[in-house]
Amino acid sequence: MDAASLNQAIAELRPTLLRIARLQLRNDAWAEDAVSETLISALEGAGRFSGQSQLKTWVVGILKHKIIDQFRRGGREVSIEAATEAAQVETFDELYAPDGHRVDPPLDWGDPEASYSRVQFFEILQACVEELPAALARVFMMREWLELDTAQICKEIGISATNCFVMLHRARIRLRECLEHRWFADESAS
Amino acid sequence: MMVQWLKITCRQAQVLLSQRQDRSLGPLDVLRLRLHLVACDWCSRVARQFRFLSEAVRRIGT
Repeated sequence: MDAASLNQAIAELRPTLLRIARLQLRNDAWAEDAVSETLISALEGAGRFSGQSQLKTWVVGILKHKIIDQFRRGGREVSIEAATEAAQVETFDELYAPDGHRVDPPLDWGDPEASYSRVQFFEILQACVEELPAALARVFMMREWLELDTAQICKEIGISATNCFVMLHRARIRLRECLEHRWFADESAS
Repeated sequence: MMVQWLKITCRQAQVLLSQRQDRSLGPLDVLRLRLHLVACDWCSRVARQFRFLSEAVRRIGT
């Protein structure tokens, strides 16, 4: 790939990067900043792109660092929202009977990994993350997409480890329900 | 007969299923969870689904 087409290929990743950054940061202005910085770094560093990994994977790797930088700049606001969210009591009474057992069986998802080859699956997954309260989505994406450990998450956003575990659990329960209703229930029906 | 303090509900099991993806559980919780999963097909499904969810999210943007 020559320099001009490499630059163009980087610029064309912008909408994809923006969607991911919004999903993670849940703030449009922050997402714009993180993506702009990513594109600048990628264009400046394009000469170092070896072509050994996919261009998109390489640029998304840069985006991850820029998102963490952006969390640091937004620190105070992020930690206030996280503390507010962590204080919410969510008991999932619709899922469990008073004795603690599940009311309805979770569906058998069959071979869920087969969904990786479906573009629509990732659309639904992202829509489910977008529906989470912002603070839950941030903590969950920090853990599962940025692959930070909980000690790092606690440090970045200033919440206790206990609150972190509680929020991650709530995010997983909600996402499991969302994917089941919006993807796997349709899959098994079709 | 299972000793009472080893018995956990589905609600408790699903909290542990989430936490084990974020920290190492203590030996007692590992035992409680294992005993629960042997007996509970529903929670075994959830266990697999939580793992799948992590892997799926990691693939966003790849």
